[in-house]
Amino acid sequence: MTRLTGYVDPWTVAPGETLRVMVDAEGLDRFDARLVRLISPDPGGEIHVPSAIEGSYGARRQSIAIGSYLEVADGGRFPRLTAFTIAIWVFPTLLGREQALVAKLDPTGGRGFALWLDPEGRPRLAVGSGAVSALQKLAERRWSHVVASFDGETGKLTVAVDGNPPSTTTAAPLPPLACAAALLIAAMPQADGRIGRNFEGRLEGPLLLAAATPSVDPEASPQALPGLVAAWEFSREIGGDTIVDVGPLGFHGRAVNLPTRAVRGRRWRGEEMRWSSRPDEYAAIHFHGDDLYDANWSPDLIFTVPEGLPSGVYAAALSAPVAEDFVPFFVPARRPAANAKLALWLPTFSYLAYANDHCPLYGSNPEVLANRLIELHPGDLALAAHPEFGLSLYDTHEDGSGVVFSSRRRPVLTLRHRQRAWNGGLPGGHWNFAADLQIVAWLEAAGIDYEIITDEMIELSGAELLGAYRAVVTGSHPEYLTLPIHDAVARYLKRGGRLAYLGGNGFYWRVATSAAWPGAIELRRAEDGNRSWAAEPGEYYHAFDGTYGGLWRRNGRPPQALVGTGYTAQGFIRARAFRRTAESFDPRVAFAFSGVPADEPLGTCGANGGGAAGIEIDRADPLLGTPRHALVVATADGFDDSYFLANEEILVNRPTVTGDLTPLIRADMVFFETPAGGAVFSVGSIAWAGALGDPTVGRLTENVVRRFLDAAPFPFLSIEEDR
Amino acid sequence: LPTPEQRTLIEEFWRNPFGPHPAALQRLLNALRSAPAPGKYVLVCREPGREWILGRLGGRGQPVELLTEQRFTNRAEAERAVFVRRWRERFGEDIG
Repeated sequence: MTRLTGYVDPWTVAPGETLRVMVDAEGLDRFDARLVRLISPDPGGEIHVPSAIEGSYGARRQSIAIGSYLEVADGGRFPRLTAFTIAIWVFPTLLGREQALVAKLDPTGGRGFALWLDPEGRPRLAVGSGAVSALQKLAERRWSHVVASFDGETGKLTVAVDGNPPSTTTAAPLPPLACAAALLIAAMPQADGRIGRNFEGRLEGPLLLAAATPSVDPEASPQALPGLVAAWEFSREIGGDTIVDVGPLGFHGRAVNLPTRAVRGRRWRGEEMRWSSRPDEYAAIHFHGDDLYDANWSPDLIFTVPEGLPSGVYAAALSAPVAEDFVPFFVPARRPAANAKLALWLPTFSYLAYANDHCPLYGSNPEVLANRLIELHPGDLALAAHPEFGLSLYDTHEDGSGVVFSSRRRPVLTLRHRQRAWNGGLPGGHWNFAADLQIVAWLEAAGIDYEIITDEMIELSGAELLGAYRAVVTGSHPEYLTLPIHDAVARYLKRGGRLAYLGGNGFYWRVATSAAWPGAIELRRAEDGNRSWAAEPGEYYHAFDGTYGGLWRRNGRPPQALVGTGYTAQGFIRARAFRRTAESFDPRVAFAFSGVPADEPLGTCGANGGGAAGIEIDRADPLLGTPRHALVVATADGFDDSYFLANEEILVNRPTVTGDLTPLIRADMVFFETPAGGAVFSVGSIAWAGALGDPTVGRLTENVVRRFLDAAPFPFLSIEEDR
Repeated sequence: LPTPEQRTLIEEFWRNPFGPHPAALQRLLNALRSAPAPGKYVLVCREPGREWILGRLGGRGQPVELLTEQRFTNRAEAERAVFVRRWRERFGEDIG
């Protein structure tokens, strides 16, 4: 078995900046690396670019310690305890395996202690060779209070659940207790030195006392307890990675691999839904054995992007005789818009949302949605064999809870130009990154200069970055946006920017970022929308920044209000053609339809569904904010029964939510001008990118982009007067 | 053996494996396609747009089993082959 797998940090790297390439090489002594520019997702799309990384490299294995936990460093100042008590609230969500609660353990020397759950849910305390289990089993999805103690003078160990009489035993000879290992919560060191036995579920209020106290009042203030060493209060600094110790010694910890905070704790009563209003009711952390923030691989290649490298999509091409990997990254311009007036905005947060999507492997039956067999590609097979690469925002954790975070600091096998997906439609299956490379290929073929910008860049530089460009073209599916990005787009349009939204189901979900967890996004699938899982009641606010999550529409910002169209339906097998409407003959939009036949269907072929309109489609709707002067210039309808209306349109389910049974299942193409001389053109269809090779689709798109690059302002006031 | 009604559905699927399907056939397909992930048939692309084999999902945390004995040069053939396998597994009848 040979395999090459890489990831890069960061994803977006400007000339003069440095890229780190991390590689795991299985069954290989060496591998070759070279730089390629990606100008198409299809064969021939990799253009070799001579560079400093070109060469042969020594191969090595790199592994991933998946699973979240908390770590409190000993630091040489942790008290050398001779007796202790641990108290902790526990809400298990997946029993059936050993899982750690609290441990300070040097497994090689046998020093220290560990408290864990046995496979049946009984808490068990071990100190040296002495160990005792509680009589009671913890139940899944119910809070229990666990107290465990050890007396170093007598060797007595106790463990008790919910105030019941403790189980006791006496260890002899007296085991060695003090060790320099870090104190871990929700995981423990294994015999091989790795950290494992990750806890599945929620923990709250762990504390440590320097005395053996077989019973601890669960409602007592930690500070009132005699001999308090540390009490970790998870309701503090919920947005960060620090775990605050409110005890006398300040043994603050850090969270590893992004466990979920801002979740309901044992005190939650259902009266407050926003964690920042009652943090004490959100004093729990949810841990998963399949949480992953950082693979923590060491770099094998370090590449400083040359000053002269043109902006574009690139990849570190790794190869060995029977293995290869192309690890993409995005190079923006050193000085945005010095060379090109057009930005191609690649939705990297949406790539992150779909990163390592496991739905085709064991998700909620995408075969029924696709209405055909699910087709797997090499990336999917590798994900099935390597669960340690972590999950996407579409997946659920092993305990059934939704995956709230996705990080780019790990191999992301869905971000590959050759990867295809079931969602991409027949015959091509291009999806997200690969579909956006269809737009790259079209820009290259049309000879239109462009520079790459990404979500990370807009997040940082906002409207200032966008404002450097006369026009911006989106990818095929810019679905996940943060508040700064949404604001930046609105401001760009307000200041006269031109936006060609060449996709569908865009501007849909709200996500959040955090300076404490760079490279990660957070999503709460709150309230409404097409959801592969649903956020728990009371957990609709992001931990990262305290803002309300879910659909932008449910945040009062429907996509129609920003770009004229918004998500209305999806179907994943075939697409349709648009047909021009009467409004397409309005002189205001004559520039777009120059040379486009008046009576013929628009976009009758394409890689993604065999047409220009489909897969995920948008419609105009004045009630949702489509500007009243917007022109609906083309529409596609007559979709087959594999198309389903968006959930957020359905108040009461009814037998008219599929195919051509509802007029809401249609794709609308919209154009409108903005007051400052700018304009928006939205195609309302994910399939559009795959149909750019169709002459009419290509012609229309080129007409729009070239006019958007023309400095002449779009008239606006006269339109208002006419109406 | 399949009833005359079932025979009609089979013939319809044979003609047009990618639909749109009549309601009765779609209902049958939804049932055949709704097995839990472990053991479920999938298509595995060997050469984009040209060659496929079948696979069986292993479920969470498990690799995909590759069924290399049968190769397909178009998706419709593979759809029919899986339909035959599922029919056999569900109804105990060989319609292939």
